[in-house]
Amino acid sequence: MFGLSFTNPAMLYGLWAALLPLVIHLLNRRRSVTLPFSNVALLQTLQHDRMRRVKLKQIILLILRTLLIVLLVLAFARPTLTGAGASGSVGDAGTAAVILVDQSLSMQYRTPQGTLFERSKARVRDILSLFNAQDDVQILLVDSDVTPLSDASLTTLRARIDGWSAQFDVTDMLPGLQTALTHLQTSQMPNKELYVVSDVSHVGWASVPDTLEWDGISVFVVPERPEIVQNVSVAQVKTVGGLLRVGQPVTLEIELVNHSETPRGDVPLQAFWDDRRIIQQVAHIPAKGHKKLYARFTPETSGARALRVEIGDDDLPADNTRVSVVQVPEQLRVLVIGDTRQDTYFLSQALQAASFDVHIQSSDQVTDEILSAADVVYLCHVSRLSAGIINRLQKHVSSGGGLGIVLGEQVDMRHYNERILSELLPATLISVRGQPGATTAYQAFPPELPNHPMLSHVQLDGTFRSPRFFAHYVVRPEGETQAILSFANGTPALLESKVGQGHVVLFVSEWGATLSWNDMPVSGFFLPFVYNLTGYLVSGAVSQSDYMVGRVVNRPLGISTKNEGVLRSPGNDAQTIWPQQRGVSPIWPVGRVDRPGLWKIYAQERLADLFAVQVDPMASDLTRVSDARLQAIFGDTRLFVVSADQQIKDVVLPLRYGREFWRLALAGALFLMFVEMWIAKTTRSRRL
Amino acid sequence: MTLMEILSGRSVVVGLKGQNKREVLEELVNSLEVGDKITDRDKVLDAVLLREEIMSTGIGHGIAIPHGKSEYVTELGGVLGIKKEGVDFDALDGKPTYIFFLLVSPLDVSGPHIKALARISRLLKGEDFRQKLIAAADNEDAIAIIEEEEKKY
Repeated sequence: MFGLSFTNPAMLYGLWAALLPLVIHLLNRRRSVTLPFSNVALLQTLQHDRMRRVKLKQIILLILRTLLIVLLVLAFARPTLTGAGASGSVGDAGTAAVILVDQSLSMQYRTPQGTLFERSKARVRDILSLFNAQDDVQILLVDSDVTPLSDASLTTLRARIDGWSAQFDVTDMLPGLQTALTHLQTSQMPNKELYVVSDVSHVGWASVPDTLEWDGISVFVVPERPEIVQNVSVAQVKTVGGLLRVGQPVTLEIELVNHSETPRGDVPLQAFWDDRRIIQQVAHIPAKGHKKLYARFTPETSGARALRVEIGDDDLPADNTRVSVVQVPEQLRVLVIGDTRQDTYFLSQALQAASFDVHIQSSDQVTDEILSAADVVYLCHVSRLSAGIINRLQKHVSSGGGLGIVLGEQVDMRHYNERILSELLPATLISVRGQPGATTAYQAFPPELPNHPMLSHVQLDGTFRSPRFFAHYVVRPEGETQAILSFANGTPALLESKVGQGHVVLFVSEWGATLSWNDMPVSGFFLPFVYNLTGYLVSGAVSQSDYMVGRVVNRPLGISTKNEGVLRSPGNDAQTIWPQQRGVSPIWPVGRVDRPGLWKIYAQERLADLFAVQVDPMASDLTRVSDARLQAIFGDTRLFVVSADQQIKDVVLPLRYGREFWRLALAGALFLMFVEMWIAKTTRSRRL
Repeated sequence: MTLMEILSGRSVVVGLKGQNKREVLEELVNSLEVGDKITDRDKVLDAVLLREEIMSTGIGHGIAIPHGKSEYVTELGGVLGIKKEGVDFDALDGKPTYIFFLLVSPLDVSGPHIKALARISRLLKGEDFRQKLIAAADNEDAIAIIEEEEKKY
């Protein structure tokens, strides 16, 4: 099948110019001149033959001139044949093409014909066979990043395909599509083609806007998908319920997700704490649903410990194991700052009951040394603080320490608003509501408390009753400060802000020994709340040890060394790394982590650090993006979804501009010009 | 290829003065150093304007990647421009454009061009990074922000 198209169709308006010779001819015919002549008898005989020849030549010239203009216009309009047989197999009109190849985790899905990625590689080979050496072909490997494979000939590209492998990252098509679009729009080639070879999971298209304009570009989506999705993934592993302490039981929460269309009642699951198995069971998960499983275990040693959860084999093994590294602190040091014993009594008692290492200081005795030794600091109703202490507290929090501020009777509101809160927790103290000691009127917490780590296990479900608050400050949160818990009347009671790596919380009523502001310190609510609060505040101090695949990781050095370390990936590849100074802290510059699992850093012939790399749970979701969404993204452009049983060339070649005719048209025009000049010249010479 | 490699000569202009698309493009092209890489700035501007006529390179989210290929460019080059007030650049989402990344490259070389495009698209995907760039106080600040972001990828 053939078709004729024009690369510059606007030039065809020039065909009107082909009428010019005819118009000129008609205008000249009307201009007959009468000449007086003596005898026309001889001329009449001569005229009869010659005039016939002259008229014939004029008609020939008219046709030649018209054709000349037509051919010139056609040459500039660049006529091309379209269709599979237009010019051999791939055509000689140039093609600019970008091939996006999805190399994300979901492409590791196993099918009887190989993994989706292996199948994609075969498709890419087919696509490459559609190009000639003069074509501009670019391949972009995409996951959450874009890796261009440029500067290579078609032969080299074909040879490299075998070396590709699917990665562990999630897909994001946007950077790849933007790159392809910008590149193709710059190209002067008649054919502009985009190929997307992917499992077309909807996750990868979520960030792609409908506003990109694909005019003039043919888009070929080549889906490689399993017939039926059978996949369960370990989506999350974490400890819940506050602090991890040696010898104290902790709850492990595991979330499994079933991405299949059918329920799974037979998913074997095991969890390991370091290498000790702590759970073994079978999970039942509804179709397209998820299931949370819980188990209790007791950490026996402190330090960085590895949690690993495994489920049984399925068609996407890469998401069947998830590792997390959790820190079990040896001892948590809490500094309680208060000016009188009455101010610090209840809080220090609660902290000591929870086995924290508690130190009590008055505000004028706090030094850098004391602060640097503390994981968490509490300010108990302190009236004012010096600029030096505020500065030290800010540094403490920025570097990951926790700070709890408890308001009370002696608080200097103006000083807090202007000096303390402006630096540590953006908020304004407005007034005191209620009367300390007036126990007949009070505020309480609502029965339903928000879901927050500071409030876990202290829900007011009958186990605890709400404390009564006879007096409290009215505080307006500002900036990024958030109210975590409010009284039943909606007034904020507990506020939180993040400063650098650490947390700051503010409680609006006093915990003094007189109990004149509330009865909270003697309620059942107090002890678990203080325990949770302290654990939450210290979470910034316990360094993060879990990262997503694809991130660049820098680990705190932890030890004093200037010598090299050895980084071991989950695949046991070893790489030498050197400590670097980053800001005030020395780090191990690990770089981009591309494999999930446990990563280790050895220094001075011992294990110096441990961290976990996890796959994005979204990467396991193979739900297909809808055709309507693809249509919305690519708009009115030529979008073609190549089905599994279709040959790519059968779809592409019939649409492609094949042989171009502009050279032929130009040569024809030149030829006609010479013929016209010759005929015109002979006519003139005979007249002479 | 890193963004700082593309911006050879640390070509960053924070506080573009241009009030419309043409003026911004002229300002960006004028920031290219004429030398071994760029032999004629006017011709390069013509190529960029020609490309812009085909379709706006304002890709939305406050970003534009104007670009052009020209025989007067011998090696890939780039300039980053920032205008805090934004400019109507006929962006695809119809919103003002604040970040302009001009790329110019030789006619017959696609590899470095597409590598640069991929890098820019990847980095500018992050909302935080875009906001930081728009808020950059001066050229040095913008360079520091880019260098910090590049460490993440």
